[in-house]
Amino acid sequence: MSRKDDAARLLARSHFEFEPGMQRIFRLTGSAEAESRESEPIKLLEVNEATVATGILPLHFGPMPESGVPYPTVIIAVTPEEFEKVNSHELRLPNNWDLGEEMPRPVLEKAG
Amino acid sequence: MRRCRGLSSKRRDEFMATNAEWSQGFARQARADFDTFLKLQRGSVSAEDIIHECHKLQFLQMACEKLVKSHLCGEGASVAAIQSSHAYISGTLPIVLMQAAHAVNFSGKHAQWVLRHARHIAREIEILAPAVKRGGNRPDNCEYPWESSGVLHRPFGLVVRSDLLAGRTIGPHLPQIASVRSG
Repeated sequence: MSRKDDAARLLARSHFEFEPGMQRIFRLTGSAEAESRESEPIKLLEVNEATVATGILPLHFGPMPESGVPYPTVIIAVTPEEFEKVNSHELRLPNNWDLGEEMPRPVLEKAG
Repeated sequence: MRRCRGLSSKRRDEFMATNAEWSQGFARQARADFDTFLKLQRGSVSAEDIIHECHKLQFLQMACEKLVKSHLCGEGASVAAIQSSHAYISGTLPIVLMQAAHAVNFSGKHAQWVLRHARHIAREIEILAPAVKRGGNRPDNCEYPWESSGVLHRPFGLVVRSDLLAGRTIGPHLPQIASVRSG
């Protein structure tokens, strides 16, 4: 597994921990050429029942090397209903990105 | 301000403000709005002046909206599209805060608690804008009177624990984010 894959899993894990409404998180992938570049962001599609439906709104963030994510990131949050539309191509992902690997959900303690 | 009336579209583009400039403009105005909210909240005004909750909240709503728009402009979103809506806070601010929490290694149950409340508060702040009504279900806002079940309500006199809004959850994060964005 590459360093970028590790960073993506770490970020996904923290988002699962932060947000109890997070149902699933997927990597988004661009062209092979784009993905081979070190500067290409980690792109996550987050299916979150606690978010509001806003369509596909990619949010870009800079690298966070001190917290284990030394790459830029892009987060797209969708509701479960919007995720169905992404699957049926009713909602389109930008830049010809495709749904990639699903990030594993960590086993979490229940919030007190 | 740059003048561009009467120029071709190509020439006009050369004179238009860049997204980076819009981003910084939104961020600085957000900072000013938030500072004003804090002054009103702390009672840093003349003792005879009564500041109503609705006016405090209006500055909080404006600060959050501009903060989010600053972030979106900074990443290349269409400025025209962004200016046409007030409904960006509840979808964007919780993600920005989640990333900020990860960046500073803020984790555990306390982080989860803060972020859960931040999401709820972001939704409530968003509907303070009169144009955001959640499908007609939330006409309450901090600027204009509204009618509900035949009763006319007004923002003046609205009782909201804005100390809870600002002091314990989202408030401490806002200045940090705003200062990063406004340089």
